[in-house]
Amino acid sequence: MNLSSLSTDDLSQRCADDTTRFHRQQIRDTEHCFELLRRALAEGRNDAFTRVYQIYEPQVLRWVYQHGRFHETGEGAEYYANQALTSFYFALRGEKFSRFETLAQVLTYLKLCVHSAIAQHLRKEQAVHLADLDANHFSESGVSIADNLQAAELWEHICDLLPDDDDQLLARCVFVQALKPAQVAHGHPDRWRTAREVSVALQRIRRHLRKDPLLRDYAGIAAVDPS
Amino acid sequence: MTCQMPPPLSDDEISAVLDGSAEDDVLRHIDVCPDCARRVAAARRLEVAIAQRLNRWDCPSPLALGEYHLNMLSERQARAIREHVKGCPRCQAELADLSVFLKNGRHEDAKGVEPSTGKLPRVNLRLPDWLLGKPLVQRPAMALRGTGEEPVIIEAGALTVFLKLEPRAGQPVLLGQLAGDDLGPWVGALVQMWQEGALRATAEVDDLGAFRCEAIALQPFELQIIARDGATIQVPEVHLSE
Repeated sequence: MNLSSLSTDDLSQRCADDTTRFHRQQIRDTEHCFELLRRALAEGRNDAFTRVYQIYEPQVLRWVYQHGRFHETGEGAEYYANQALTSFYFALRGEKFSRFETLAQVLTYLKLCVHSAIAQHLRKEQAVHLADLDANHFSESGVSIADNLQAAELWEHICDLLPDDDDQLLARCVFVQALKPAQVAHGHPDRWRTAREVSVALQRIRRHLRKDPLLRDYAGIAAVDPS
Repeated sequence: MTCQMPPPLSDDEISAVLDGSAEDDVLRHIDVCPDCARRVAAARRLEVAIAQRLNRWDCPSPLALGEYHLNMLSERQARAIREHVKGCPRCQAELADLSVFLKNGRHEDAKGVEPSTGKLPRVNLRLPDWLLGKPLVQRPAMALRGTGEEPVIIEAGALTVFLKLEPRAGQPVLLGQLAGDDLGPWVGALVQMWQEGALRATAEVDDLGAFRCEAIALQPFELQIIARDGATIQVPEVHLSE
């Protein structure tokens, strides 16, 4: 049968039937679902994407529940399912879809989108947690006064203040990767043998950074704390 | 202001407080000395400001890491990520999580899975990239109702969304228009229409900020407009008159 002659409604029904048979562990044809996905993403047809969403949402929800870190997030599974399917839509719409040859490849990518939604949320939560450590640092709108300095500029400035390679590495471990002293020592035993050695080196770095006028101004403490 | 319990805390003692490794007498000092407590607060503020700004600032996105894992990137892109991952335990951990996740359940069936609650994908509104759309003119009803030929007008941050139903033979067509100073991020956005916890229709915002949906036969519905960068406009209940 020529798949392109099927209406989107017919194609969706066949894809849904094939998917049901798969979940009953019967042999599944993949061509209908692949063609539906191709129409939705390569051709950008929203009626097809709506059907893709409806057919695959239950599977995506199952993947969310299976993800090892989902329970750490505090959000509902539906939230991540929507995030994953939306990110799938943006990532594969248009030419990029042509790189996929099989349904299994496309669904693996969809599963990746589930992981990405959860991982991205956990990254944001880490940033929110840092902000919570100093609630006074944020205005009522939730925007940090530090937002005007870009991360790359800030990092470059810190590297200027800490020309030593070990100091830069330690600053990176602590401020960029949010590692604890024991984790730093574990990851770099050639530089620091113990967590105590890391803490001592970190104290020196902190003294240095605290004295820098630009950083003090950046954090909004220059006028508050003249020491 | 001066220290109430001289000598004042040293820089290293302040660092120990931030690390949670300070001695009891240092903690007692902070309790009774506002000046040293203020110095500790200032030091914490500096570190939080730096850490919050730099937190994983140069890490690839989770999706890019995943595409690297699936060998979907060009050699140049893959090399850059490979170099990054070598020195980044956070990305190494994410890749390990992904690897396990992709391997698990390859042949899963539907058994033993928690069912969907049928609820809409709710969000934590602490996240700044979600905007709750509100009617421009407050009406007493919770739903946003179009009146005759008038479109529903929704205000969402710096954007305004106009919605109108156009009568057609068969099903009416939903017409939408975004207006604002900067529509750029919203071009190509995904429009979702939900009802009773299920997605009913989708559309795409075009280059002029407009969208249309041919298959809209539901009233009322929830509207979500999701930009590529994740910014989202959510309107909980819309009812349009034909």
